[in-house]
Amino acid sequence: MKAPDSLKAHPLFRDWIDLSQQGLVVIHSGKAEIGQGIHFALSSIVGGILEVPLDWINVRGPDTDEGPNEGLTAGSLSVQQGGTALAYVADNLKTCLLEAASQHLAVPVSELSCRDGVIKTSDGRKISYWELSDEVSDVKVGECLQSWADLETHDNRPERRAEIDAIVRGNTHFLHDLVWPDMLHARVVRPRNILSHLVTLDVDAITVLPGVIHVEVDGDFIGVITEQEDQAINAALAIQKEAIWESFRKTGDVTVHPQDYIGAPAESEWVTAQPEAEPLEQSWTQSATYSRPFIAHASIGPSCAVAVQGERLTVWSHSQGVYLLRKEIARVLNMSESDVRVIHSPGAGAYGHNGADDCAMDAAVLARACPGKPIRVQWTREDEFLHEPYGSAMQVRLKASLGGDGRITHWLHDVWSHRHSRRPGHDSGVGLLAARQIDPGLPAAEPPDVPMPNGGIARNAIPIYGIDDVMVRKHLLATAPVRTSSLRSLGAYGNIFAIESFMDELAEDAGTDPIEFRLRHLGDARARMALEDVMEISGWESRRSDRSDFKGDIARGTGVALARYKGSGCYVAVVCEVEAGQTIKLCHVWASVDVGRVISPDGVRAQIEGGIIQSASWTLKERVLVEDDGSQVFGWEDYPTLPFSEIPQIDISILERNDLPPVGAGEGAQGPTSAAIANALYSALGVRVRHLPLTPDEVTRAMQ
Amino acid sequence: MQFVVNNEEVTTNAAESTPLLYVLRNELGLRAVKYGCGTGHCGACTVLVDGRPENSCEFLVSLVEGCRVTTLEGLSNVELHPVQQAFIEEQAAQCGYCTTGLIMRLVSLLDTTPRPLIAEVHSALDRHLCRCGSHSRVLKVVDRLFSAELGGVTTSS
Ligand code: FES
Ligand code: FES
Repeated sequence: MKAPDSLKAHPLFRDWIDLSQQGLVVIHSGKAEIGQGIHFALSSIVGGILEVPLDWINVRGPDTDEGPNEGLTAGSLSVQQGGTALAYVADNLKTCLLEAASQHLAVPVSELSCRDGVIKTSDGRKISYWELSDEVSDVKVGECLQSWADLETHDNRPERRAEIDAIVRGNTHFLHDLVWPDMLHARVVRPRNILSHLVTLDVDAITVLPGVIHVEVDGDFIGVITEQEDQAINAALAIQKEAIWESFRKTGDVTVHPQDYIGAPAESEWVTAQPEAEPLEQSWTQSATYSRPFIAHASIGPSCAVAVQGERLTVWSHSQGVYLLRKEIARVLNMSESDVRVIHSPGAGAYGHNGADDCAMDAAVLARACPGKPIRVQWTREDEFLHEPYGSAMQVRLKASLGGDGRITHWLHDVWSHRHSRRPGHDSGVGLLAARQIDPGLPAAEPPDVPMPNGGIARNAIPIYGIDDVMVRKHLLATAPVRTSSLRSLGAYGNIFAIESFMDELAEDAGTDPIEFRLRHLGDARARMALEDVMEISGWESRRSDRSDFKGDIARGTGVALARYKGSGCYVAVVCEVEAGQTIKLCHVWASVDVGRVISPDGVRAQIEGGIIQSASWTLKERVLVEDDGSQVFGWEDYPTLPFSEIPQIDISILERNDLPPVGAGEGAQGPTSAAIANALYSALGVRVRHLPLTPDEVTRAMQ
Repeated sequence: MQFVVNNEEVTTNAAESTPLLYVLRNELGLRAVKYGCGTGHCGACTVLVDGRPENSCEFLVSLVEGCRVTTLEGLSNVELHPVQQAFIEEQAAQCGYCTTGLIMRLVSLLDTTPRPLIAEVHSALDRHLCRCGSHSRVLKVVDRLFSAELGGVTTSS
């Protein structure tokens, strides 16, 4: 197994695993716990290799002063990158510990046994990991590691995440709940459209309010610091009333509805090799256009951050990338990066790049204005809804030629969208709100689209199917009506929705069962296995043939979809069953999943269940309504999501491939679930809905 | 104002219009209760007031005068409450931000309606939002809690 790159910059055992405290194994990980259970998975790997119980293991998350820099916690890469690094380190550490023990005990390694951190000889002499700690901690991680297939780990079950225990018992877990001595509370106040300029604010009228310590007005940035939290809330309300903003004027032409994206000004680029000539229009036998709207991350807990300006500036944030955040803070505040420390502390699930980094920047700006005291900034629900960077809207146009033998011969995928990643710290400019608002306003970053093979706009735009002639092109729209950034699975959600809906349309044109049609075009053995497995667990054939169960005005239908996330991650095949009439009810979802080696079966299950439910909510309910002057979403009343009473029954089958490297599961289900629902809806009603979300209104529109 | 929180008598000088949420979190240090929306839509801030589940983000502190308030911290002494136990058994959380509210809601449901109809379970849970998709596990918690009483409520309709 190849050593991960992060080991080059952090080559010592102590960079990763610390055995200096008796009975404790402290893991330093550059991957953040964001509700996905990664710290449990990492403990399982290390505990399994070092053969220590999981409750002796403590995982420290990202901190720019400590532990390895493993970049972002994103893209379903945490097990793949962070897990592989720690497997590598732990495996080498164990060898090193055994060798050290062999010298102390004067017996060959082959005659030693190891259990619960104690290494023993056959005649009962022993030495513990912790006694050997000093000898190994400064040693460079060696070169050897078996492949994942040979890696022996002992069983860690039952699987219980330490965070869940803490939360259920009411122990402090979230950044939102941390308290520092002398901590002050703050709120920021922003215009509805972030591009509006501040005309005037009567600062004196605010300063006299109870508890107000400081009102910071810098360019278009307004923040207020108070002693108590309710005072900050009241002061912010007063500012909202007092502040006069220039009314927002739209500049230039911005296309706001994804169904109109085709033809809007855009930078176009071939994702597959540029064809010598585009095929003539008449050579296509099928064509269809699909779209997805802007979607909000809408974390249940609005963003929070704490910052204190001492000798250095220290910021606690639930950002998914502490190093990038540090870089942007330092640049904006004219500090050197070494004078800024960013420490990750858990927030509510973010599902990508939400308001976390913006809120941290707010806290940093306010901490500089009021040195020496920890400043806690809590965004409101409205702040989060109006100002988080949304998941990008997309429009996808697919064209294909279907041969007389029922095989697809040519395929053209065009996708129009905005940026799917706008994390802070990009060299081209700044991305965070406060950074743009304070004087002098720095230019907004225009990061390029995420390049292939992972891709942003074009993530999963290359079909998994064996088609002779595949052409894929992406179009980065010149303007966007709202700020966008990473939302779980990036462009994969929209691309897979389109491809897998289109495959169903083609299957019907070919007069073939949708699963059979897919298998006809599938060479990838793991993909075939997933599809065949989901067919079996869902009882596909009898469900498809049994169309008798119409209940009054309600029709029942079943649909399928398949994808391999990013073309390199996990395989997920999904079957959905819906009942459609006046309303659309997703009744049952079956998923077959191949993530390679399974580190934590319950973790994989939880991630897939969560992915299915989140995608069902996006697919059936969610849309950020955008007009010329920006987002129209202020609160939950403007943004319906899937309620408990509409949660489908979910059955998951995990295809264990312990001979293969592990990959993440967090983003694999979103794409296939959306298309499987649309396909089930079609099988129920005979209506093809190509524009998300699949609401009864959209169904009516599609019928017309 | 005086009231009882988790069986202890407390006094607060907070302004009458302060939502209970902030008194609990900031004055009394009971930080399991969460701020989610402040508008009564998400349920993250649910606590029990005289046994009834209430959104503490909208519940003014002046209204709890003389009442008994229970928060997550007050559910258990040594042993976990069965609802807490069930959340652990089912690993029914991802990020866990919505979890406190859900636990409080189910504690009250178990107390007041030990034999709930599916519709009652749904109308209780529909006051809560979860963005991580831990819903199906929360529904398993419900199955576990209420099946013990009933020999099988099933939430999968
Ligand atoms: S915070 Fe009270 S209902 Fe959302
Ligand atoms: S577990 Fe994260 S919001 Fe419910």
